[in-house]
Amino acid sequence: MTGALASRAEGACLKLQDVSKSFGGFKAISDVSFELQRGTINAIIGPNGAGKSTLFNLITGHYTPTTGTVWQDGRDITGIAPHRLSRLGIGRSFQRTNVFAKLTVFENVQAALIAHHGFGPRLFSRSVNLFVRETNDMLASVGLHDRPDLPAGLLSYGDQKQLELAIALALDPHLLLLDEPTAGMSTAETEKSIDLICRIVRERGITLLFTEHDMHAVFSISDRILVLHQGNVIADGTPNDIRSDPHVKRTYLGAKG
Amino acid sequence: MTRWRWLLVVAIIGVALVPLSGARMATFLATDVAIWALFAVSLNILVGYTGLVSFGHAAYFGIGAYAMGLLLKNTTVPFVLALPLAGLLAAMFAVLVGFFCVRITKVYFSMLTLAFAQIAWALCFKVNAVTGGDQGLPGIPYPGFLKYFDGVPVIGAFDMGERFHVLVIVLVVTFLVIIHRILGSPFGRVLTMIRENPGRAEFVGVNVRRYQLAAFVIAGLFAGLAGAMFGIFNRGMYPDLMYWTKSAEVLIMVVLGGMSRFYGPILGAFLLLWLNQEITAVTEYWSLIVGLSLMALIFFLPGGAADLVERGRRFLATRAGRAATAVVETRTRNP
Repeated sequence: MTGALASRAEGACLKLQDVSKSFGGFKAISDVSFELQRGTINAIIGPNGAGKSTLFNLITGHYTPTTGTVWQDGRDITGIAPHRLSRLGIGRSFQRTNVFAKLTVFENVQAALIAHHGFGPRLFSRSVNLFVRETNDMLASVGLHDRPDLPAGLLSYGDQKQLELAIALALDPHLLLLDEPTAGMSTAETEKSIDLICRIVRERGITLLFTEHDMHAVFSISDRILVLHQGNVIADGTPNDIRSDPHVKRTYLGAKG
Repeated sequence: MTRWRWLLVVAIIGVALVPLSGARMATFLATDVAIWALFAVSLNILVGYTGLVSFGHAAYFGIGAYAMGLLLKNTTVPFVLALPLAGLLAAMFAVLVGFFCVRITKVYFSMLTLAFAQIAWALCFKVNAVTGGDQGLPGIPYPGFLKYFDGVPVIGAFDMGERFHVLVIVLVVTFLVIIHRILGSPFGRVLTMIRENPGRAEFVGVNVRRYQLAAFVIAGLFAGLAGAMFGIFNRGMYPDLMYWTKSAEVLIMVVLGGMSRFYGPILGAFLLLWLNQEITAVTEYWSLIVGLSLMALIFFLPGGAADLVERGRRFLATRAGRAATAVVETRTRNP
């Protein structure tokens, strides 16, 4: 593998350049710059209110940056509408669970596939038989294949998170953004879920950017960790770098002893 | 499932042939219910499937009725052309209104649909030269082609009103089949995603506003078609049929019948019109009864009358299931 192909396989999948966001006078994110290498697992950590979710929303077009640029595969995607962005291969899950509550588990994933493949404008064909195999495969890979007919709103909290993951994966993303994928899960569920995410992401060569409060999970699967504090990146490196960074120890990890 | 389908076909033929019973009131009620059922189902595309509560749906119904009335009274355009034209006009108005309305959400959406509908009503009320103002458009004729059915068995013996009833049933059933098809399509699935979670739908690649607008226009089209038929059935069109109380009435049908099922609004249209006829014969406190039953419904049966039907069906299914357990058990064990 040489030349263009190699650079495509290894180059930056996502690049933020001097991105800032102010709400009124409050600067939630100030001059954040980083690049994500293709196929790597990257975590953003930081105390509550550090600006993690804001950063996610800036990348996914829910907010438009006050200044700065977001690039994906060399394309300027700053402030592009969410429904366009998902077509470009960016999948995301939300911190608050976000499934289609009254649709069944099966329909949730099937609907995502229908929308992603641009079948929405078809008015007169039948939807029930579309993407049945793909949907079942997706449900099997997140372990929800045993109750496809249950309304999604009746799933346990942890299972709804898994379903969200399946919806995000249905879009066949190159870049996956997961905001607190294990929030509200038990320790056992968290471990299982993190293993699952890690396996799927590695298998498919997806670039992952996630936020997580479980430090054990973050340090065990990440290739790289960014530490966000009051809207600034105060540290950026491998888990070992971060663990030994005196500044991070003092401002963040230190707080937990 | 096929047994249900046959039952449905038989029921539809039965309703179409109500005039054979000789009861004029029954025919009148059946035509009325059929037209309002289409109207209510068209509203339910928005309320039940897309999650948009429109308070101004009577506008499209009224525009369809006025268009049909003007075309049949003042021009030589035949019914078969006037009907799609009336629907188209209503759909065009829906494009205009929807363009603004889908930009806002929830109660603001409802209020804006109401505002536009009231503007449409005021226009029809004031533009005397076209719509006849508060005098309306009396004397909308029956479709001319119904005259040529003299030689046809059964229908030949019907008078014009009864022939029109058969035509309405045929058209309403056709339109309902089309709507049913649309709601079961990938497009319909996207609408339910928007109802459940517009933010999430956006992030699986759905242009939410565009789909909401499409749903709004489709709902307006079928409301216009229903209105066009109603103008003829009513033998005239008057501005009060476009007033906001009519929008409320059709919304009550949707809620009363149950918005989570396709047939809910059809049931609602029947219940409201039939009860209206039965109760007004006994007492003048018709609206009190409607109010009380709506309250009771919202507390005890939030899924509407359709919920009751579903419960009954499940009850029958389990009873039938128990009787045939031995047979069924071996057959239903497929994955």
